[in-house]
Amino acid sequence: MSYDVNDYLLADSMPYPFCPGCSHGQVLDALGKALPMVGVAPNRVALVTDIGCIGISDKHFGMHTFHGLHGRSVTYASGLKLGNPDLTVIVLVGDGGLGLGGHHFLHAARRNVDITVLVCNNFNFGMTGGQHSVTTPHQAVTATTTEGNFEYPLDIAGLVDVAQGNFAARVMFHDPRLPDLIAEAIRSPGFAALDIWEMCTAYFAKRNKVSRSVLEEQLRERNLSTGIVVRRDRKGYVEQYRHSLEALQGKPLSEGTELAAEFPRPVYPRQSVLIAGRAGQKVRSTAMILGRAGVLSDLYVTQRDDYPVTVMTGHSTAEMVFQPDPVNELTVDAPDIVLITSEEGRDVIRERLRGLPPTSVVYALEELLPLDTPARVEPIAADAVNIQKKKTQIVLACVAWMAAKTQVVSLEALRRAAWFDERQSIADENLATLAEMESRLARTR
Amino acid sequence: MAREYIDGTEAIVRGALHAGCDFFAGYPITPSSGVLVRMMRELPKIGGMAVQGEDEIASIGMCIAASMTGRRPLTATSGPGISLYSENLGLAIMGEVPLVIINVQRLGPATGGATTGAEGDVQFVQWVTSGGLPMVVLSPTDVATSYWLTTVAFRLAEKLRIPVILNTSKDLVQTMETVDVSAWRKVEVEPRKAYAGGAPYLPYRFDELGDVPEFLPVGAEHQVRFTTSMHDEKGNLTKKPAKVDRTFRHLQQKILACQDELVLVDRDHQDGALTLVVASGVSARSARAAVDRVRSDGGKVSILTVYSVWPVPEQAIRNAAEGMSRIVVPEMNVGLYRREIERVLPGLEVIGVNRVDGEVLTPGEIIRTGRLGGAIG
Ligand SMILES: Cc1ncc(C[n+]2csc(CCOP(=O)(O)OP(=O)(O)O)c2C)c(N)n1
Ligand code: SF4
Ligand SMILES: [Mg+2]
Repeated sequence: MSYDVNDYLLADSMPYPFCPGCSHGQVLDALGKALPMVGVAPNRVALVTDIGCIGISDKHFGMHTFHGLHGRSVTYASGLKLGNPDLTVIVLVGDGGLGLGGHHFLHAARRNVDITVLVCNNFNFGMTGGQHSVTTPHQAVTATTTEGNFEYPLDIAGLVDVAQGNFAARVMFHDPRLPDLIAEAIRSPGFAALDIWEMCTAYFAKRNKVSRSVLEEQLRERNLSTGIVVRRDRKGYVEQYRHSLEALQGKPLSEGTELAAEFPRPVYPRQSVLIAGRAGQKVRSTAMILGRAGVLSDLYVTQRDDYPVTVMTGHSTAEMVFQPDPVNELTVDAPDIVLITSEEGRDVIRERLRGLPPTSVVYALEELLPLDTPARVEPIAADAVNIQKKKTQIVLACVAWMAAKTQVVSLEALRRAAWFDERQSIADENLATLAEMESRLARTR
Repeated sequence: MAREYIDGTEAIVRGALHAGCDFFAGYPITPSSGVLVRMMRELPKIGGMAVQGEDEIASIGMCIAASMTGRRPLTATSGPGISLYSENLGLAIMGEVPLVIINVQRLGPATGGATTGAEGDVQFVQWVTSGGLPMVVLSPTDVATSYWLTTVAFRLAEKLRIPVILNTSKDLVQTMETVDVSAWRKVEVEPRKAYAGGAPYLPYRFDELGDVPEFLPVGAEHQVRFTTSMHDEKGNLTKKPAKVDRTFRHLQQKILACQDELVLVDRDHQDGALTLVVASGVSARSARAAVDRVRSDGGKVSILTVYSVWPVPEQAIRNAAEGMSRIVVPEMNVGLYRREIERVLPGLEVIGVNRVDGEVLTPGEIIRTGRLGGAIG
């Protein structure tokens, strides 16, 4: 099926709402001519309009139109394309919108999202009264650069180039090649942009000369040319996405691991445990093993973790509650059992240690003593929990130690819980640690 | 019984997938990144699409546009990110875009405490954008309600064509706990009201102010005009006072017309109690523990847990407060929801129990500061 201009540009919507002599209308006309050349059905095309004078053009088009926020048109275009990859998506944005959303433009080009961006570049903000934009030429006079613009202009096509987008062209609004270049940009797979140099008769052209010869002089000065200036054939984003994630297609969604009550429930109304260690010691994942052991022992467990923003340094704590019924008390004033495996952990809970009752028990690595606490302190000898000097196993070894000395969960439940780790190598290492601890503890018993 | 040991993040992701979510875009930020990471891993499996945007603005922008192609989108963020969502949330209201937003509260303002819990966004999430139209906000209290309310958020978003915020917090998404998955509540998400054919398609047409317009995706056979500017029923820009008024009131009225579904509370009344605790979020959980403790010590106290925090379930609060002389409102902020309780219950003594140091309120301090211990009769 073939289409003509009227299928895209709505004759009954005319005239355009622009000032006399404004070149935006000529660009819209050119878009209307380009679309039948591409031959894509109007209902397969989505036109995204930014804000500004160029943004109020959606009502003239018969395709799907999407009019959003200033500067964000490229994000909507990307969302439309990813949401429905069969759509041909075109953006109309001004130099103002390009400046505000430059970040999005850059990244759509880098990702090579399959959209076409027509930048209607009239060197200033038309709608808001002729203020300077990111493309206002050096020395040009605008409402906000009355003494001449001392900033330098951005080259839009150059931006596409550095971001590795597939296609960019620079063209004057009155260039007869404009419809062909638009059509070519739309046909080109991956990201495509056109930098269309325009004329704002109400503002920019009133304060600056914008004749053909002046524009050509500017091109020469900036060492720029018109026509296609970037052309690559990297795969478009949609194709890359499909290709690289093909292996995941059809795989079942990850659902959780059911933990049956395999072990007899220990008899206590509640036990609360605070593990205080350091980042990199696997506090959180070890606490998860302890938590799973609780669930396997028919208990309700909560585990609230705390750590600073730093990644492999600083404290790491896990506060846990075990009881036969659902837990609502995520943090308890005085934990029954505290396990300290590093200086950082000890220091961060200093205040809480001071406030513990004598009935609480603190298990701490020997080297971290003495502690300022009324609670009963049970030292853990470094040798007793040293598993081949592995820092990542020390908390698990200490948890095994604690399990052997308290009622919280049994060593058997702990071993079973370690078995459930998603990654086999980690499960194996943890199981080896627990086996070693069990035999050590059996010897000392 | 199907017991598992998981955190709130996992529950949210499962809730979203079970609610038919097939699009995600987000930007990493602690403590919400877990949702992004899991969605990036899960969605390709079911032919959905997940993207890490170049920033939060791009992420929510992509979600909005994808929603208008007929996708069921989700995004997740925290503190600085929800601030960046502000303008696009207004767009989603104005354009009538179904969208679910997870906001994981952390201590603010600004960067604040990335790994520090708080409930300081409670007022912000309602008035998060310019223009004066409030958001619908749901607030879970644990892993199970994180799952349930995620499905509710999708249901409301699709049904009313609005953005819905699930306002959770660090201490809910990262806390692991025993859950019985077989007992989880879930609501069905019905497809958007679709274009019935016949008359030409008008994207923003409605008969009664409270009606939701018929949906056609961008890409349908008929032309779809989407706009975030003040528009008429065709989706064309308008400044005509009568049309502006009608569109504006419709945006408000479609939510008010759905009141029944928007009141989600759990009322636990005790006969003879004169004190009522009103709570939401992770603080509601500590409050629950406080109430249980007071009761087991022979005290009398009632509790109302609010899941649908915005719009404020005023009648439910009034009902629960009947016969009470004191109201206690525990929160991890300077007393933000307490303002609403004071407004709804003028004349009653309203006591705030507040903490802004990143620590979860303990039941003990709720009892002490709220003077629940003496709440006998
Ligand atoms: C976030 C935001 N900031 C500012 C504005 C105000 N604004 C409206 S149009 C415009 C400039 C438009 O200039 P341009 O994109 O070049 O389009 P033109 O009017 O020149 O066609 C601005 C800044 C806005 N709508 N949104
Ligand atoms: S202000 Fe400038 S850009 Fe806007 S319509 Fe008038 S001439 Fe065109
Ligand atoms: Mg401009």
